[in-house]
Amino acid sequence: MRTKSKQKVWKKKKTIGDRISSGFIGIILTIIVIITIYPFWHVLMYSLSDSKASMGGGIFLYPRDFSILSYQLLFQTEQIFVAFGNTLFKTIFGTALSVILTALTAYPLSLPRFKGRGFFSMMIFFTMLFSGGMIPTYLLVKELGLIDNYLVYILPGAMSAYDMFILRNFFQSLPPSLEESAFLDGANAFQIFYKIILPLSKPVLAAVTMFYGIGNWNSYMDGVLYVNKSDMQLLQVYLRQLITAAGGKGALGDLSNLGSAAALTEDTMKMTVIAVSVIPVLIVYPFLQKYYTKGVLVGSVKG
Amino acid sequence: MKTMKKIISIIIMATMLLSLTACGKNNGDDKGAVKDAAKESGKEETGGDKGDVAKEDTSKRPKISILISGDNTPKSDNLVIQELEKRTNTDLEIIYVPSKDLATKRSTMVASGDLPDIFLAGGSEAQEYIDAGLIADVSKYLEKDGTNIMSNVGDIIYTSPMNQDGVYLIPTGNVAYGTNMNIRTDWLKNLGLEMPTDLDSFYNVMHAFTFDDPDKNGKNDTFGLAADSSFKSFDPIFGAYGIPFDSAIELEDGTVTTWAKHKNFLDAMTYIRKLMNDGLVEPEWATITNMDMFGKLWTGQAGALNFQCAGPTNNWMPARYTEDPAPTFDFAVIAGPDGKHGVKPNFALVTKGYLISADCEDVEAALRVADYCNSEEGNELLYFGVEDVMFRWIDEASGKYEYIGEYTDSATHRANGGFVYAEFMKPINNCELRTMNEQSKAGTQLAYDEMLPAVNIIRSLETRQDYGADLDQIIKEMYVAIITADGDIKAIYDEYMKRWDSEGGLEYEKEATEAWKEQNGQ
Repeated sequence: MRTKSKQKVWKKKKTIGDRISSGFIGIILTIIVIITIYPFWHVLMYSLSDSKASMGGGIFLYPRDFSILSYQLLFQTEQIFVAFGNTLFKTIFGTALSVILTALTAYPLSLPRFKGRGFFSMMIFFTMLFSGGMIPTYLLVKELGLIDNYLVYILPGAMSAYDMFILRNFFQSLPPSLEESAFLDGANAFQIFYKIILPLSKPVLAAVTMFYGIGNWNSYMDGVLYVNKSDMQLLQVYLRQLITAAGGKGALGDLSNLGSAAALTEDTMKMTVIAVSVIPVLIVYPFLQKYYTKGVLVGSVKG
Repeated sequence: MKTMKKIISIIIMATMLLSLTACGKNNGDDKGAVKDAAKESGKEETGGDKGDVAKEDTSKRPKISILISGDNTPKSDNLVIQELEKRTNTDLEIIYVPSKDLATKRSTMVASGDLPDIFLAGGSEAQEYIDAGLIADVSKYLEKDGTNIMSNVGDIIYTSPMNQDGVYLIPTGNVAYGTNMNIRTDWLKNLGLEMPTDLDSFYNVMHAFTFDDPDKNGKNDTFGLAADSSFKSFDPIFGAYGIPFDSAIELEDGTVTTWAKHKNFLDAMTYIRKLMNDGLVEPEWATITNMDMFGKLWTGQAGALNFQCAGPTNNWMPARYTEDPAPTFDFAVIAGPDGKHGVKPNFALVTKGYLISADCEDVEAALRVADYCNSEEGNELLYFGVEDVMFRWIDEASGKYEYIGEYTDSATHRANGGFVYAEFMKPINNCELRTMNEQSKAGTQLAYDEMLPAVNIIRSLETRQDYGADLDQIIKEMYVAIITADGDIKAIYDEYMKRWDSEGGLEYEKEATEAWKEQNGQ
């Protein structure tokens, strides 16, 4: 009751000036929201419009001559599901493995009592400055027998030095007394890590998971360089080929056996591909967003 | 709750391990995939060949890997490849990469010593491979296993600078299509005009297309010529002044130089400026993309487009056009002040082609595959698929065909290998040409006939490699500057050509002139 009356008092104190400024802020924020959302809305509406009707360009608040032909073309082939499955595999298992490895590496490096942690940290940091390069990496992958092997999707990029340092910095920010208390209570190192450190690190783990997840979802070159079989193709490679094929059709490509798909333009296919590629990330993102910002900020301020 | 968490964690870990194990072992499953593909495609029922292939002992067939680029996604082992394996008695591994990543994939494979047996390369890159001993000399096999190759490119294969002490590079032999000035004949009819034949009548037609409501819809919503910032939009205009745009030319004193130094260049530019200044050309020419430029034609805004006729009169018909009835086109030959006419010439490339790796275990078999694909029969297989299973001829002489069964669906057709490899070793008389409609065939031939003479130096020039991109950029900048200028275009031209000379142009001229003389035995 007391709180309610306080709120009432506060409400009464709102002046006309406050209301005007609130309204003004609301309008500005609404405009920002529209500016932020509209590009994707445009993409979505364009992809749902008939190609011929879309050629004029302009603003798309709703589809022009509603058509799902581009989506039909996209999903009529088995390959989209094959590519989708491969990317999903890479995203789920690649991300899971990456987060586990990164956390397991970052934790010991965050402990002051670990002798040589400076050396190991420097070794890992070094890889951020100088990468192996495309050809040496290809040679290594080949020598490991990972060409045309699903393991190539999760092993070579299993740990990112950048993400490891974010995690390490976060772990360093946790009070050492927590670990000491748990140790006095009889917990071993694994228990401390699993039951104390990780539950407290949910925000930064969510952020790192998001980094890895998006990286794996958008992965392209792995699917070009290390894989020669179409049944191992990644979604982004497939989608890019689809766009290029649509462009080719526009110029001189053979349309004669494409039937109704010939009526699709490159732009419509691009919009469809963007929608298909982005929607899954958009669905996942809100669930992790609240951890995402917090996690990155917390991890980044500690040196 | 804690127990539940543990159980879930264990299940997830176990699933991961199982998946990794299962995914890691994917070799040896291909035969099953072949059977599945055959079953899916229905070929077991229709052809019967599939069963034979499956039963046949294919382990003794030589293994040949081929790097092919394209923008489709055929199954790894599909009907077309199975048929090709059967016809060439080989076991093929096709490495299919997106077109734009071909160079990256190829250079990575080459650098790691993992060369495919057959691959496409050209220019200095191909020369480096040859010099490094990475490429096989196929000259001794050509007579027996290269009959189709020799009938296609026998007259140019030895002119390649890469084939001086053997045959390392098999040129494709194809000459890119020339361009046609495609003019809307339905608009001409509406306006009571004739097909333009010279620069004056072309101007009049473009003017009428822009201002006289050629589509009779009562709106001022059309213009004459679709164009972008490329010179190609005005190819026959330059041709009317005797200029092969974007080509090397020989001046009267024997100097080989850029086309922009042609004596009629400024006259041609003056005419193009007039078209533009009078509003007869795409108003957004400077910024419009290639696809959007086509869109202006497809949506009935533009009445003319300079482009390979196979676009407007063959491949885009009728799917891309928004008007009903669809527009009709014919091709204008535009004569200049001296009666000259023509378009930019294209030449058969002899410095780009297919190479067979020196590491290939059976060069003869690799050449056999390449040679078969270079035949009309082989190209038919790669373009249409397996005859009577995926397509059938209605009238082969006139190029009429139809896809059959489930292959009428283009996605199924391409997934099973139809069309997707058609560029590999494409012969000169290929299916694309054979199946064009009569108008497009005639237009394509017209464009070839109209190609102007120009200098075609076969060997690669050092100065071209060093300065070529910068020199081309100067010409492009000059072109835009002249079109958009208000003042004296001669002064602008002189300024840019002075820059061209000083930034490597004179060195290029010297080397090109010597190379041209040497090539002509002077």
